[in-house]
Amino acid sequence: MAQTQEDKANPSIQRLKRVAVIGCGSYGSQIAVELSLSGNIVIVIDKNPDSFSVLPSNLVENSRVVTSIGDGTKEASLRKAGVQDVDLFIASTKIPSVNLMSGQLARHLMRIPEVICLVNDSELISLYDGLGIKVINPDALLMNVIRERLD
Amino acid sequence: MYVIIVGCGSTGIKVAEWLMASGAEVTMIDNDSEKQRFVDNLFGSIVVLGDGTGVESQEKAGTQRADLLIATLNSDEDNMLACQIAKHHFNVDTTLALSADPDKAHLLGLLGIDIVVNLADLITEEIQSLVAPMLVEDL
Repeated sequence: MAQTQEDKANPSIQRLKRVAVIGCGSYGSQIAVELSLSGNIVIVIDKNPDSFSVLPSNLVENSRVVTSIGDGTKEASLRKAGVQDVDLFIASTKIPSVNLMSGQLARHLMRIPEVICLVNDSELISLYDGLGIKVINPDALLMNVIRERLD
Repeated sequence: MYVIIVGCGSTGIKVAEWLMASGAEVTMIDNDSEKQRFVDNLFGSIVVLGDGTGVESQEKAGTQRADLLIATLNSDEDNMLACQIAKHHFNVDTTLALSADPDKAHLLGLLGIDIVVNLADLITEEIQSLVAPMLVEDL
């Protein structure tokens, strides 16, 4: 992992994992906050700067959550945000094709070790598993909850 | 089992499809006639056109004989109202509300809604289980 100024200034930060989250909607923003609160440094990328207003200001001020305006399907946007140095990449927009495009860019061009895409289509899960990307289907998670409670 | 689903968004439709495939009878409620047409084309006439947070539409959908009501609207408040009408007016056994706001999820639970699901929470748990060894543990 490349060393940034911040790492040199504070060696303890090197222990922390870096995570990139694409999309600061209802999923992305909560994922970013949760992962940040459990000790990871999180970069959140969204096209719309207004979307960052839902993030808790203390996390943003302490640079525990770093925001970057950009398009998650463009390599230039990802590099500008420092995504090349992350350990985990999560594509959480509401649009499956955007998540899969962005995820493959991260996995295969930028060589991010762990890539997770949110996709509401269970048929695509096995396809992308084979391509080195993990897929989470939010609707399937909801159905698991319903199934557990009703059985 | 008879299930009412409030909201014909993508989540509502997926849940309806799955429940029908597992043998449940499903009626959906939505106030958007385009969504009604879309879903009725997919599954046959199963959508009541109306406000799922109103007693009248829920009655039209047959909520009085439902075993489960699932509220999938975008607003936590609307989901709360839909579930409370089902629970307290129609005595539905189990109500489930989707919640997008983690602060409100706890409140919804206190308000007597049987199951409150915050999808972002579920997704985060899933992420943590997929990559558990590499993420920093709780400090």
